Amino acid sequence: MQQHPPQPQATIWATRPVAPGGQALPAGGQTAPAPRRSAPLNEAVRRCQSDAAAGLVVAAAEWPQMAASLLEDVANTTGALVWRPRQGGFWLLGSTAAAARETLGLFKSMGWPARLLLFPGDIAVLDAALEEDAALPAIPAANPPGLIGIEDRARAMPAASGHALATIWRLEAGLPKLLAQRWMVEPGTLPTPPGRDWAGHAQGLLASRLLQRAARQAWPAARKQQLPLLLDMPWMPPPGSLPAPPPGAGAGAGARAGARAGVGPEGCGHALVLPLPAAAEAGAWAALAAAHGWELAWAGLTPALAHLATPQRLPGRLFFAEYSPLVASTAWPAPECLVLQGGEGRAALAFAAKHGISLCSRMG
Amino acid sequence: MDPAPSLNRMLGPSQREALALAALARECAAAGEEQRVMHLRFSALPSDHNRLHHQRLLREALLPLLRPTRARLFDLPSGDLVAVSPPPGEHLDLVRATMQKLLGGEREAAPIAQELRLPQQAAALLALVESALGLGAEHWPTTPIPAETGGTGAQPQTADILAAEAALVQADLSVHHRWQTICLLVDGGPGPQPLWREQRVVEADLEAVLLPQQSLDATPWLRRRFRARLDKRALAQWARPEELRGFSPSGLPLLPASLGEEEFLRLDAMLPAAIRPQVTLGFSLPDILADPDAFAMARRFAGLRGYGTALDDLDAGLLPMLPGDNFGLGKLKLRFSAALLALDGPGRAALEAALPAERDRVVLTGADEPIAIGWGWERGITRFQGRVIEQLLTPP
Repeated sequence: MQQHPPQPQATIWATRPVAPGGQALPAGGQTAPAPRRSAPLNEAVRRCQSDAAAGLVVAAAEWPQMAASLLEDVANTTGALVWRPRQGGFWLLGSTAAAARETLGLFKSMGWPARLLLFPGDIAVLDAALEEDAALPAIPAANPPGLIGIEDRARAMPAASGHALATIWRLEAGLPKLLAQRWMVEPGTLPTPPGRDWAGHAQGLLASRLLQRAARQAWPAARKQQLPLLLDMPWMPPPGSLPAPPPGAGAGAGARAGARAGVGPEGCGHALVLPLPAAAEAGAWAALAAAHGWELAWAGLTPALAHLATPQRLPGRLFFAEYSPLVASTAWPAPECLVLQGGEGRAALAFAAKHGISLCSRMG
Repeated sequence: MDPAPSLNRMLGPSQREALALAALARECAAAGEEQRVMHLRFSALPSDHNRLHHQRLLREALLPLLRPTRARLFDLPSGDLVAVSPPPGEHLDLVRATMQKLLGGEREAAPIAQELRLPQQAAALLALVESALGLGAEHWPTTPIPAETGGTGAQPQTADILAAEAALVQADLSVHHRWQTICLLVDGGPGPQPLWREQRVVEADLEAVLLPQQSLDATPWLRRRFRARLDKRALAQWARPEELRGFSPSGLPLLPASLGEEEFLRLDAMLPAAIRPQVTLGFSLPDILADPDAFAMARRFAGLRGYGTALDDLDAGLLPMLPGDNFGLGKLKLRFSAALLALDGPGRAALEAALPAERDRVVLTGADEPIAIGWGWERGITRFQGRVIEQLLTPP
């Protein structure tokens, strides 16, 4: 049950737990009868119906507490109400037009979409939301997957599960050209509760298993000898030693790269794909990898960190980023080194083709 | 019957607690005072439960039941816990019921949760204390049983982290806190001028206490969980009214995602707008790289609310990774190391080119030797943090 900051002024705030998806849950347990409107909500709705009040509706679900905190700040000073309907989102009701406009500006600068409501003109929007809220059945609290024993679960998984072999390719003269293969962790194989760190840990456990298979030289059956292999790594300190890379096209390329600094996937060698936070030890990783015949590649690039996606900043010549429209509107310093994941849509393909960017796909 | 002060110094905390329990048993016997005693024999757990993190989970389940009551708690060197409460002491029954629930039944719980009554069974309690101190006939393990992964530097499991997180909720952090002052110190100028103070938890010490014989080094994601919980503790402490009275400019090193937690938002709601610029929120490069989305959110929110921001504790070797705008953060806290002195000409030039042109945005941290100050001055850096500064600030 979440608590809220002490409220110096009379505030009307319905405290509701929030489901992982950011939707408000009904107060007081797993299920509840159809909601009775609280007196404060009734009062706020009455004011919106009759007075020249203003409000705001916000869909922010990613950082619900932070969005709520910002709205509550305004509610405290203008005697307004923050309402969280069951269908999700936040409503500021019964504020002044000036305060609502100012808050709209705050949400815009956080990058969260919000809509200004001027009552009583916009009352139909509120009525629709109230109806939707009343009609929704209570949302049962989702049981997050357990954590205890996740290491044992990872150990007990069949050898090949949780791992996939993807292809790095690029369109050249209208034809796909295969450049490399990536032996990677399939995200979500080990379910975890929400949170970046748990997901990272689960992914690390699976990547450690990849590393163990590599140490036994148990390479995937679908590996193509004529393509270099990229191997997903867990985030960990540089270990004492590394497995030898597989035989085939990329072997010895690490040494070649020293003599002929290449960029992008063309002619690259077998490479370790490190999660971006390992960049804090990039120097040590580069030395270790080179000593064992590997190059480096980096996963987890985002538009905000686009400046890092170049061999001038990080030792390596392949940088993996999850495709999003924002990725397509970002200026990447070395597009030939960029590899898009999850970019099978038309817009992604067009963006990749235009800038000579490679793609990482599960297709052969 | 307190042991002599010199002896007291030689004893560990749990041995002192055992002696205090013995003293209590004698007092009750002498005064005929009635007490209920619950002996939780964690060391006698069946072998499949006798792992460090199981013991810890049990303790964490029971302590909240006992802490708010009048029960006095004694941690014995054997790892056992003794709760002493004046009658009727219903919470002891609750503890027994909880143990039964956790261990699977009355038969399993009976040998673990044993009750004694004072003053009648004072002799039995004294015998128990003696054996816990290794003086009695009955053999008790004097060291906790290591976890399955045992040995120094073993990799902790998720269960260990969860137990450590739970323990962290109640742990006394004050002994692990260190304050340092960031000062303006100009060559040929007056002494150090304090700019702001920073509180930091000595994580290594705390990890050694909460995750004994384990190391989080190999599992950085789990370490971030641990630090997230530390952030919450620090923020909760900051949001106390007595802390905010007489507020002076301060720095807070945080995980970016901690700004979305209710502990931070509560503090944020309490800080007047005029005070917020005096709070410098510090984020480290690995934390930014590990969760860029959370960092983007944190930076925008900090800007919106008017906080000062800093790139915290940056290894000079990572300077080339910084974008020209220092990730949009106000200050750059560069960690001094001896390696900086060994840089060759091109290395020095590259480093100086990567430093923000406005040198008043740069703080040289880890200034533990005077040479660090000299190195900073040569590069136009006049803001420092470290032992040298603390010594200069302390009047002789």
